Amino acid sequence: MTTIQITVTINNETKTFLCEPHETLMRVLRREGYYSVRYGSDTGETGAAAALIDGRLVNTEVLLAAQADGHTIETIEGMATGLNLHPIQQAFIRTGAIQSGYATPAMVLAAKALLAENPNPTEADARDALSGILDRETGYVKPVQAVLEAAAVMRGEAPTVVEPHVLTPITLPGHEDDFFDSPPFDSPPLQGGGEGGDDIHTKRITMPKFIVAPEAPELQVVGKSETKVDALKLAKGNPAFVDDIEMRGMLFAKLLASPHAHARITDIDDSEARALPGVKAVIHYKNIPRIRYASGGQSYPNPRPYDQVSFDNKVRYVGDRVAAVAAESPEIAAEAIKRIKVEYEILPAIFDEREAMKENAPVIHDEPDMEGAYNAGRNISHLIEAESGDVAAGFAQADHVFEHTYRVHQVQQAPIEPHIAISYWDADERLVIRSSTQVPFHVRRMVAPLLGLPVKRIRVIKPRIGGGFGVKQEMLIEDIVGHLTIATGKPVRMELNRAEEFISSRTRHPQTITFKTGVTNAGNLISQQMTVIGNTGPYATHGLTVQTVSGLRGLSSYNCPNKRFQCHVVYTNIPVPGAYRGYGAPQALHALEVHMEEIAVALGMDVIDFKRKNWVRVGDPLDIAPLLGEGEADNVQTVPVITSSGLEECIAQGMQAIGWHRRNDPAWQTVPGKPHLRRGLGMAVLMHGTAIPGLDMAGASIKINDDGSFNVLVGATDLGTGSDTVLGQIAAEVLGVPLEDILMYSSDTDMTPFDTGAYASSTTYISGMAVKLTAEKVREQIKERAGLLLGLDDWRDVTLRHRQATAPDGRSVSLEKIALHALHQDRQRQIMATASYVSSDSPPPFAGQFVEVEVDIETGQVTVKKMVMAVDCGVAINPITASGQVEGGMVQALGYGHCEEMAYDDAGRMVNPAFGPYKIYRADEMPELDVILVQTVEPSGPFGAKAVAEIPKDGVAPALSNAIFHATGARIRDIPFTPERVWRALHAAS
Amino acid sequence: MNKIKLYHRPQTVEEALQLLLDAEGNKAILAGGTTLIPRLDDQIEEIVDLQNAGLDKLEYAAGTMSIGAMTRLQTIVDDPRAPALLREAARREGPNTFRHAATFGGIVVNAHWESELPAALLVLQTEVHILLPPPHPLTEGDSAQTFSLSDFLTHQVKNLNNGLLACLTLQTGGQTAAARVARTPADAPIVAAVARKDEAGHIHLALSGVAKTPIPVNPDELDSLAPPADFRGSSEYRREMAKVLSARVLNELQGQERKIR
Repeated sequence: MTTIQITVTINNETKTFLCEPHETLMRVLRREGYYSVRYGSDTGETGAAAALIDGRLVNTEVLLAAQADGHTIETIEGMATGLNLHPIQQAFIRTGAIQSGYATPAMVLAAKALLAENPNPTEADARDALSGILDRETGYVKPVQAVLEAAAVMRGEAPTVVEPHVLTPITLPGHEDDFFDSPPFDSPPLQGGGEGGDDIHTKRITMPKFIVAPEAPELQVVGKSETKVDALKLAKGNPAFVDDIEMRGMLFAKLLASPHAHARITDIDDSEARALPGVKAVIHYKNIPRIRYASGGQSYPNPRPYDQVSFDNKVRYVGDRVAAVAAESPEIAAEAIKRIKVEYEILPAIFDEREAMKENAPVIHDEPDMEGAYNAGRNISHLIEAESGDVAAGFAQADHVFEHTYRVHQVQQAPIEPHIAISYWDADERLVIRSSTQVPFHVRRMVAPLLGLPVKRIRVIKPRIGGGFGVKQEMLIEDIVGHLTIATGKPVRMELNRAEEFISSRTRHPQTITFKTGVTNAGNLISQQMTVIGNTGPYATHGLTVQTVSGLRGLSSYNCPNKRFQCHVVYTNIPVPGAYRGYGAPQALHALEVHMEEIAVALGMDVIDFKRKNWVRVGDPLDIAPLLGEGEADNVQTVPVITSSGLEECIAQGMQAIGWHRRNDPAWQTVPGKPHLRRGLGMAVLMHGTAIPGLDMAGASIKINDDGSFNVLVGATDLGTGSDTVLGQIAAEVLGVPLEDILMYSSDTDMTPFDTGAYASSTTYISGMAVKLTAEKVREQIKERAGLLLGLDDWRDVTLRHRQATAPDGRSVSLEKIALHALHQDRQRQIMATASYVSSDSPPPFAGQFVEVEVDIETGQVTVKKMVMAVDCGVAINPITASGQVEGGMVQALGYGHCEEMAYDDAGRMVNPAFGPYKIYRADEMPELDVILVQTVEPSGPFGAKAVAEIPKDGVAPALSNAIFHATGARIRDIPFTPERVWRALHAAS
Repeated sequence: MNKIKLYHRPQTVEEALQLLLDAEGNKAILAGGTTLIPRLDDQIEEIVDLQNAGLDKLEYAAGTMSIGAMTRLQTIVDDPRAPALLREAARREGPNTFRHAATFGGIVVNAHWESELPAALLVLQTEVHILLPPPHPLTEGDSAQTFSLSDFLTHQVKNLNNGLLACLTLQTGGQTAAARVARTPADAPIVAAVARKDEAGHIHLALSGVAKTPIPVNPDELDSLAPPADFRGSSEYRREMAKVLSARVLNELQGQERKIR
């Protein structure tokens, strides 16, 4: 290999780098310490690795380093000095445009290039500037606002003041009959027309629209749109992610993935791979102990079956593990993979869940040591059944019975940062695994037996994560790097490339769902049965729990005296489904919300009237919940009752914001000059859960520092959601300090208390309550010390506010003096506390999802013009991060319903494992998004909070189906609504 | 394993052609890199990067323009002198990060079957000019092999006859229309139809997504198309879309109001 030398001007410095002719600029920049240039793809679609070359934004992973020789390069490392941030960076922080921050550097550079050429950009200009940077987190709303805000500030205008946009409630107690008489619009709804997408109605900073609950408490820090505690490092692109460290002698791991959907491995010969210079280890079924496990990151004991081993002598999907190597360079590792000789005996494969249980279907788990499946011989991992009331009797009483079947497909979480883990032996010969995971504590416990190490010899560190969405709620590659470090003694890094992230990580479960519902002539539900076949691929990692949640969510939104759920979870040979934000609810609620509308149409009832007649209200029991807990039926014995709901207001606000009255205006449904277009409106009613009752547990630990600041250590796993910020706000509120006095740290199995991890919409509610309880204990110690310093006999009425402890008589002492006194001066002690929390409740957040579409009746193309979501998440601890969760979640949900799909050939090979063919929305093609936070006060939550992260995933697909039906009269029950599917439905309907 | 030993950045076309002639192993011509770099063939030993070879010139004359093969897509998007159809098709080709790197030469050589830009170039009656290496004389006119884009795509001129794609010339006049179907507004088209009525009143129609490359089509022969199928569109669907979208653009050129159903 010839080494060449390139000279570039980078961030105003002239530098000379050595590289090889084939190396990309991304690789060389990262090697030289420009860590803000980040891996997202190999083909230039994500933009995470974008930098400015001669002032223009270019993807450095599709540029040879040699091509950059002689050119000027700018990365974000050159934009700020110390704490003095560039106005663009400040705008990104102030607008809440940063979630995980993984691709923030590229976005900031995009804005810099745009504003250098055009100080007065339109929104279309801003969207075009961001068009090459894919974002799974923000829905692009706040990044676009950040660009426009930065432009204004750089032109000399004053920064926008961030303040809530408070709306007037529509529904008032005692006026339930006025529900459909919404007052006029605040602003006219979008009129549609044109292709739209890049010049919609985003303002500089639009705070989420907000309905304030009259009973909400007056608070100092909670409920405020504080900037994120990790904003500085993310806005500057500081090294903060798994891959942003340097380890001397580190080896590169690579997976050999199965090319066959179902095959027995009759032999592996790794001798040629091992003979390749630079190869340090090759592992496979012949040299790794066969220990059974389930890979889903869940509480002990992990739900059965234990149907996986690290390396098996059978492969069960294209992408399954065959072997892994560790080598001195990624190229050598890739070459070594090619030199492993594998002999396969190819077996028949099965992909469709409806075929898996049939007699004579190929048996996917025929190994003799298979443990704990319901019926492995028939490919059934679980049978889940629950019944409240008597469904058969209910159908007999019903005036009408409706039955419809829906199919939901397979999609991938697609975080821009793929799975990555680095393992190494520390000085104490303990194995450290630095991993992009949502579940560091589960990973430590689960990986230990596979590696043959006791838990105490393993430490898992979760640094910043570039998005997860559930795909990282898994012990996925940590055993591979661990095995390779044990085999070689060296640090080992493994990063999935984009194609591997699609096929060899985790996905969303496809399902076939049948709803059968009996109703009375008056439109009341009397009996409802949900039958599901859930496709868990070849491994049932989250198979039981996702499908259980489908049943729980599918049978909870509406009151009905008789309910029944039956679900077969079946094995097939598709890439493995696992946890994906929403966790069974998006599947169930697609089916339910379309089914309910189909019933309303058949009965000739207004759809919202029909749903409202039946939806659950405060005080209603969730009777199916004790039967369909997330595997914890033993923990929840009593029937939970709804304690807070803003659903009526959510629906009323959503109707107003989307312009629901236009639904009955035939003239509005056609587009002048475009005879091939039809407009439609659709909606869905949503209810989700908050944490897994009786199972999710979080710990927190807080100590005071000399200056009256606090370290807050949590096991909770901020994966870009802003949970560190929200938890910090809760601590700051209790301790009477501004958020800047709270130093958050998450999460590290050696350093922080236990937390189940970031999943099940639990962090704000469970970890938040743990932080609140801990802070309250610390507050008592501070008050006691204040009493000592102020000479009080009774310190119980001391209050903490503005960094002061104040006695009832008005005298006060600063927290700094209290800290110094406690740590150094008298009766010394560390003011500190630890607490943990587990809840028996799971108070549901509610929402209304509304969409406006245009359907091209000649081609079947659906163009989504506007999406509105009104959400009751209790008290939003941080409205700007909460609205960011809703915006980003809604756009992922749009992908699910509209354009994302994993497509396969007949042999089970995914044919579109890259962005583009796998279509996720870009900044310059977005519909208008509107988010309304309808505040309620949930009595069991920290400061009244409920969950917000998952419910945005639940309603777009059914709302789209309903809108397409409204526009065209064609009912489509299967997603996604891609052109040919819609076209065929239109032909079938006409 | 990657075998690239040499990276060349010739400063003139002559030097570039000589390098292509002299290269001992397998060589690749590097334009923008957006297609080549992610799929670098393991066998490629030498890279010839054309960024400094002077192939990025734009020339306008009455009714025609010439686009150097190394012209970045964004250059045309930003150039108000270029035909609106071409600017819009170039903008649709990809996000701005892509358009800052990708070149017209690269787009034509790769000619992705679903790409709308080659279809737009087809209706603009684009000609492709190839420069051949020595001993061919390098004077303009003699050395250049000129193909219609249609022939170039149909015959897939092998390895450019060991030469270089130098520039495209195309017609700028006439009226144009374009229509497409895709999953989302910025998605690559599943099928796109592009039409132009030239100044003599002749209609030119081209489609993408219905054959191995974008193709010119006779409006009367749409029924005989046999499009390849993939997960975004069956052959039947693509053929139907060819008809729907062709009718749409042809009607637009003829100023006719269409009736549907």
